[in-house]
Amino acid sequence: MELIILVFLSSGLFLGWSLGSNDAANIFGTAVGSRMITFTTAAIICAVFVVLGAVFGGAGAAHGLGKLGAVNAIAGSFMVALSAAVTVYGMTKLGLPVSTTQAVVGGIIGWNLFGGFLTDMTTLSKIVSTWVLCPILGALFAAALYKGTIAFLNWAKFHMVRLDAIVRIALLLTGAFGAYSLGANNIGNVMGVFVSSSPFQDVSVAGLFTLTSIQQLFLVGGLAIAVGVFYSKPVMMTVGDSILPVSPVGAWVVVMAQSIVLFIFSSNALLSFWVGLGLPAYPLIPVSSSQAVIGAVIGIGLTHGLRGARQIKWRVLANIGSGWISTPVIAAAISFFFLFFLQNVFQQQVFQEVRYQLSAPVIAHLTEEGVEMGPFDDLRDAEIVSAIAFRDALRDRAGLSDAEEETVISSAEIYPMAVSPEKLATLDARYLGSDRASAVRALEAQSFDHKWQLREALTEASGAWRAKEPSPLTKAYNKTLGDHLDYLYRHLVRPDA
Amino acid sequence: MVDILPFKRTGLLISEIDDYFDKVSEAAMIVQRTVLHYLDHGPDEELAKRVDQIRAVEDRADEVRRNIANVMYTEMLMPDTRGDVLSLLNQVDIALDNCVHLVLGLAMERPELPDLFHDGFRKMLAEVDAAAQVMVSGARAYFTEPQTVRNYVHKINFHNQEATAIGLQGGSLIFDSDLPLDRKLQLRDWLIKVRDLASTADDIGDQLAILAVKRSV
Repeated sequence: MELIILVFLSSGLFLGWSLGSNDAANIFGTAVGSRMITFTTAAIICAVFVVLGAVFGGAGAAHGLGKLGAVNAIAGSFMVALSAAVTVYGMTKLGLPVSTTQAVVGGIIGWNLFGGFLTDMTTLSKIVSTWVLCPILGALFAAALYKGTIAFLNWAKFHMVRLDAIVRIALLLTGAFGAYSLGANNIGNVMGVFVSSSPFQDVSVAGLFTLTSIQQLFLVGGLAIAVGVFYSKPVMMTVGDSILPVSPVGAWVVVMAQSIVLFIFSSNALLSFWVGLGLPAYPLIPVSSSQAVIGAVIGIGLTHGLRGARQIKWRVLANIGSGWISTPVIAAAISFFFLFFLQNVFQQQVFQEVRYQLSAPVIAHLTEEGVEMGPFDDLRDAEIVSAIAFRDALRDRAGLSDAEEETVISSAEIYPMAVSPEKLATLDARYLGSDRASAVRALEAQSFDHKWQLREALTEASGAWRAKEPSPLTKAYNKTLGDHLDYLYRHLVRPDA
Repeated sequence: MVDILPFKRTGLLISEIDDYFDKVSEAAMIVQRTVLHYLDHGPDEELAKRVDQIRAVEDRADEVRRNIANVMYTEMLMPDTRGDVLSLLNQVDIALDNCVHLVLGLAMERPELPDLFHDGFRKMLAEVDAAAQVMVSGARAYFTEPQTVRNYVHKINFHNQEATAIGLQGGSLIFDSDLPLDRKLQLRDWLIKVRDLASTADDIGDQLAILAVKRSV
């Protein structure tokens, strides 16, 4: 085990700790705030299920690498994770619930700015739109669910003592489920970047089951989140009590509304079912549980009309809102500032330079794609370092549409890959599936300079690598295909080139 | 970790709350039976039996009430309404104490109640018992159907007003009579003691109305 890997791993563990100390509040904040569950009980249940989720539900994130996958040097990943962790830690100290994903994205933007990489504006605008959309959806779902639940309770006429027991059980079950999901979904952000350099070996546990090296890595990350959970009390009290004191039933409604919002906007299966019923499709967007929870608490307050609105502590809410805006900005600034130190003081490589070249095959490919390449003749075969410099060079010569510009930049990126016997021996065929793995093996001994070249070769080798016509029903298929391609690019890359 | 097994004492607690209200209702009925019997037969052996009976009811009710409070606090049940429930039970306990004191007082003082006033006492007892029984039903409803509590409060209020009106008539009748002043004052006090049972039920009704609104918020 390399010592340097452990040093870099520490920032992932810190991020895990920060995540636990902030996001646990989304799951158990209202339950603890309404005094239905003690903080200790909530923390223990949350910690156990976070670890279970990370180890047994986090496998999907192993190849997806989370949002940090874009960062192409481990020292850079270390700093992105550290800047996100420091930001979330600071917000936790202030008792403000923030989105860890946003902090990570802020860190990546800082890295992009430092390394001269382009920031994906589409993703960024989606994230910004969730700041507005997510609390509104949380509020709407919570208001509807609260009204429905109250109507049901009036009909069911539970004894107050029995209702207390039912709500307590419901809070524990939904909380445990939420903790499992938190572990499964966020372990990618915390540990995903270290998957390719996991310092662990597969071990068999009493001959019953095998813990893979990735599962052990996720176990360590999960434990970091679990430890963080025990420090989440200040944020829990903000969510559970400071904005609006909620009743125990309200506490359950908040957790459910948050889960529903997250489920609806992340479930391909539900969208397919929805579209299958002949109903109009809705976009699947990344949403923040922190924001859904805050929206849900407000939603319950507003079901009581003006009286409820008066009860909401708007000043606390304004603090939280300002935290959402400052989180990515602060994370980006910290990331940028410390990347400079890491590179120039500690002599670490924080990013790998990416080069762009309009070679003959690239020009032919782009012409085939319908891009008018005439104005860029003088750039032919010139190697340009950094996406921003390349984009500026393109813009100086012609006005391409955003889509065309993106196509030219991604096609010109030099990304050398080789399908060597060593790489094929370590290929994860189980993840890719037999058809796709066979197609990769058919390309043995070939090498490629651009990602699109590998993609085209794979498509020719097997129909299993062909993307389907974009539609809500094929979105899940195409997303998996994209994840498989990303895995293959990383697996086959020639770092020496 | 006590809150991991919330169902452990749920059934027991519900039956104890029901048991407590049963005892309060029983105490109100004992008062009515005791006074009616007293009007017809004066202080006889039956009165002594009733004293024992209502003391047993009070002892059991106090034990159950203490146990309810103990379980609610130690097991941290109903954190948002626990205080309200205990305050309700404490106020109902005042009504129960009034019932006990009335029967004990009757056994100690053994007042002479002339036939002229019997009718008034009977009418007032009917209203007082009705107020107490509706109050118990209202308190039970608070635990299961808080939105119906308003109906009970309205009825308690009506019975209390009736009892007050009968009390005023009875009072006038007492002071218009030829009885000596000390007898008049003693009879008036008894009239007030009986009427106060309805008045306490009315106070509990007012509290129930507020608690029910709080539960619905």
